[in-house]
Amino acid sequence: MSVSESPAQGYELRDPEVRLMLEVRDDNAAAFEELVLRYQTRLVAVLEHLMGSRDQAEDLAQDVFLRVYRSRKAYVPTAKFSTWLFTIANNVALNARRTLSRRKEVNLEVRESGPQGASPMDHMLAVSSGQMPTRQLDKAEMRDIIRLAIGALNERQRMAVLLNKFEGMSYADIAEVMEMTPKAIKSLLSRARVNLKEVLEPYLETGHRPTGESLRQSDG
Amino acid sequence: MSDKPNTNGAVDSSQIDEDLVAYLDGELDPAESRAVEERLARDPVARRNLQRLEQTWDALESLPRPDLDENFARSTVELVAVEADREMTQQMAALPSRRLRMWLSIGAGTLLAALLGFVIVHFAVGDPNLQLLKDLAVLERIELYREVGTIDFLRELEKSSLLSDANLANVPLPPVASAEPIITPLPAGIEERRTLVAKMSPAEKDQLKRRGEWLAELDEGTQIELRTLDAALAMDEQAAALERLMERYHRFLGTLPPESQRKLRSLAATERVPYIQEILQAAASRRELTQPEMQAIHNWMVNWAKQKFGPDNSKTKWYEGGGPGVFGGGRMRYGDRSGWNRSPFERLEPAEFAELEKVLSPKSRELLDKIADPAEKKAQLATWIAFTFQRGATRQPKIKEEELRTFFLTKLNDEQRYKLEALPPERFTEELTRLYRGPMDPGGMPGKKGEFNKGEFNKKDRPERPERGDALKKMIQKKLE
Repeated sequence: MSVSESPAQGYELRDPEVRLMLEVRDDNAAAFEELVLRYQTRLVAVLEHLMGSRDQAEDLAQDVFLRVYRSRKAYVPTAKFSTWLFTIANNVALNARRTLSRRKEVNLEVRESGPQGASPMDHMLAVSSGQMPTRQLDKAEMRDIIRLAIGALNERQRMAVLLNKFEGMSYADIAEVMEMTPKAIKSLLSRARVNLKEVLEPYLETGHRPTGESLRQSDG
Repeated sequence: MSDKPNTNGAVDSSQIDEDLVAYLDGELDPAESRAVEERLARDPVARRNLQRLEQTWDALESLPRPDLDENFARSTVELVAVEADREMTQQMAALPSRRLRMWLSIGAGTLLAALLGFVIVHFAVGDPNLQLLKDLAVLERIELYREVGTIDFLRELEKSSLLSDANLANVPLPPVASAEPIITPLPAGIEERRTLVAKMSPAEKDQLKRRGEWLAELDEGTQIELRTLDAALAMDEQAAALERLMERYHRFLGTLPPESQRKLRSLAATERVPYIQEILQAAASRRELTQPEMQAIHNWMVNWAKQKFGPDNSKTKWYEGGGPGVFGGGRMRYGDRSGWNRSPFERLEPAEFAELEKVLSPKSRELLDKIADPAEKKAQLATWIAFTFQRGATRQPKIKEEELRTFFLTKLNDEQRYKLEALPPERFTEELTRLYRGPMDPGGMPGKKGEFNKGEFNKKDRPERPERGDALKKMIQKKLE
């Protein structure tokens, strides 16, 4: 290997998906198809939980691929391919939400009864403390609760958690995707996960049911 | 979760949480990790938090992942195909010349067809042989593709015109251009390919199937490389010319010694072309002398040395015992190593060299006459001798297949057999032969086991180095005692 390897060459050498994208740049249809097959499920998975809607996630995923195709001629590898792709996905999602917030098309269920919270998260926390499960939850219910919990995070927290969990991305890579510093990501992620922990705490116990007051204390 | 400072301590609880989460993710440096571990050891609250955080994280596993069917990918690719079409139309509309427009419509239309072709082909349901048919070109040409690697290399090679008929004719390599073509034109459509395969003999079908299995077991990176080369080749305007070049390159590789082949396979595309140029230049000097000529040179040089240095002089003895190969010069290979050898011819005065020339063959004399510079004449003769010497070393008798088979079954251990079976069919024989021949390297001095190894020069005794493995074992045993 030559000593004077440029960063772009570095990514080209180490990341086979970067090489695929370079083929797409050169109008290789097979390479493009390969990338679609590799990433479609992953993109929809993150976008679905980000936006709360499967249909919308599929639309956005296709948007992402279209953008990838349109920008192929200008592609220069400056990052891992997955990081670059999810940066596009993040932007696509942000744009979509701006349009959405005007239409208020949010698919998160909110219980009608219960204390009024200022934010969905407060509401969920209150719900957790108020509702005591009288039986062990089955898998489907657990899934719903978790989905709701994720939905109750704010959008940035949600994205960070999804990239962290679904894509196993490092803080550095998440920072790149979300255009924040790794330090900011560290704070963001921790707030998000502590929020999730507090919401899910009563459901994680097997056996003991915590009382309402003891929920906010550290030992249940 | 509080953002306010803890009433007891100086450390803010949100900072502790941050560190716990980062600790779970493996994002702390060793010092920070140790600090967290120390805290966990003494603080039950922190331990509990960590446990809860971990449980929460694990619980997220139950978040459903989507199950996308082929419709999704197909509609994505169609979407892009429409976009490609739109691009093409826009570009075409912007072009003034009618001819240019036609050209562009052929190029971009191919992309569109390719995109749609893949859409149609890939998502046909329920066909186990579909992948095989898609990969048909790859399978037929797999050796060639592996040698070439990327389309960039082929294009560069084409541009360089290094493997032109003219270049190869100047060089004493076995004929490259005239052999039967390896690549047969394959229809692009799946149905036509299906018909083609149906007509194959059972043996051919079996070979195809085996190759398909072997391809599927290659690492992903290599599979991608092969398929993208295939697709890029199919879409290239100069596809036919590049295919011919690929065959030519394949044959050219076959004329090279194993070391050069290995080196070429390992070089990146941009580095290969200069190396091929070196090879071609070196090949110009690859002329083999006859044994009588080699002997004549040897005799003459020994006599000269006896007169010049005396019969008991070490140099004289070296010439005598070392054989004609001793006079070879230039870059010489000794097994896997290579070094620059200065030929003893350099000691000859011009008049003396002229006398030596008299014992050479007419052909050698004719070629040397063309060289003006005396130093270059010596160098050229030395290079021929070196080449002849190494050629002689690498000329091995062909081994019978039965012997190889017996060797494979009886003399190898399980690991060796396993490794061999993982190789592609063509390489299997090559490697098995290499193992059969044992540690004697191609290009190694035949004198090692032959008759020339009598001179003083070869008597150097090397001290026996203990096997590294043994030293390690002893060390371990000592530690266990």
